[in-house]
Amino acid sequence: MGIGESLYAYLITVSGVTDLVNRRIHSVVLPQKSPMPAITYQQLIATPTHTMGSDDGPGRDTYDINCWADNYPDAQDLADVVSTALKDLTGTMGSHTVQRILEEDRTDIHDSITETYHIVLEYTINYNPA
Amino acid sequence: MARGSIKGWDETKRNINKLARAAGHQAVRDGVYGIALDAAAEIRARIKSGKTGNLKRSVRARKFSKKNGQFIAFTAIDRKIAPHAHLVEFGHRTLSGSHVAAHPFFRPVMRRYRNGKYLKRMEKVMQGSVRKVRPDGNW
Repeated sequence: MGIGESLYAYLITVSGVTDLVNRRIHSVVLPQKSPMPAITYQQLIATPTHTMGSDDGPGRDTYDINCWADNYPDAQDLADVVSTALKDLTGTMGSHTVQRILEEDRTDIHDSITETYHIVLEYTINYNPA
Repeated sequence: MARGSIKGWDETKRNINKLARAAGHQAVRDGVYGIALDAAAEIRARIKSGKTGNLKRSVRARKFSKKNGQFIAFTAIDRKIAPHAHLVEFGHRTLSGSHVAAHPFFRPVMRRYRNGKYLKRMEKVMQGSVRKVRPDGNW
């Protein structure tokens, strides 16, 4: 299981998140005409750490969590619960042991053509190999 | 032991110091702008060629010199050329209800520079500039 799958496995267990999006947490792309609000997640940077004679050192990946909604308050509410769940998280996440998750950035985006609000949360996940 | 003095040494020393300072400033200027150019090239390399090529053309590196000796360079997107840049970087929905996935081309490059590549590149450029005036490479 990759760290992305562990991220999904964790988010789907956070009641604050599933109260808002049910199971609408998708990798990379939203399904056609997906109801809102919804979440997509995507790897931004993978930085494998090499230890002596092995590629299985601790990992340091950066992920975007995209919080999609039809209005700004809903997008903010979703981003807030995701942030509460992930920011500074340590311990078990899915099949990985997370050293710490750092919230790096938060960007608000409005698309005036489709009237979609979209908040991008950027996290760096420091983890031990599964 | 005979002792003597070199006529005009003080003036020569001042000129050497001046040259060293000038070489240093030029090295910093080269380094900062070189990094901005490198980052721009890496960003362009991550952009898939579109119909117009506007997104690739919108990547800019610029430099400024300040009077207090600071040099500033930046890499940015010219939004007049590519007003859609953020939609590519972060992904977007379409009117038909489909979703276009994000193709991050800007932030991964900037993150790498922030996480140490900047300093490594700067050191390399500075060493190159110093070797032009000091072939032994010592500062």
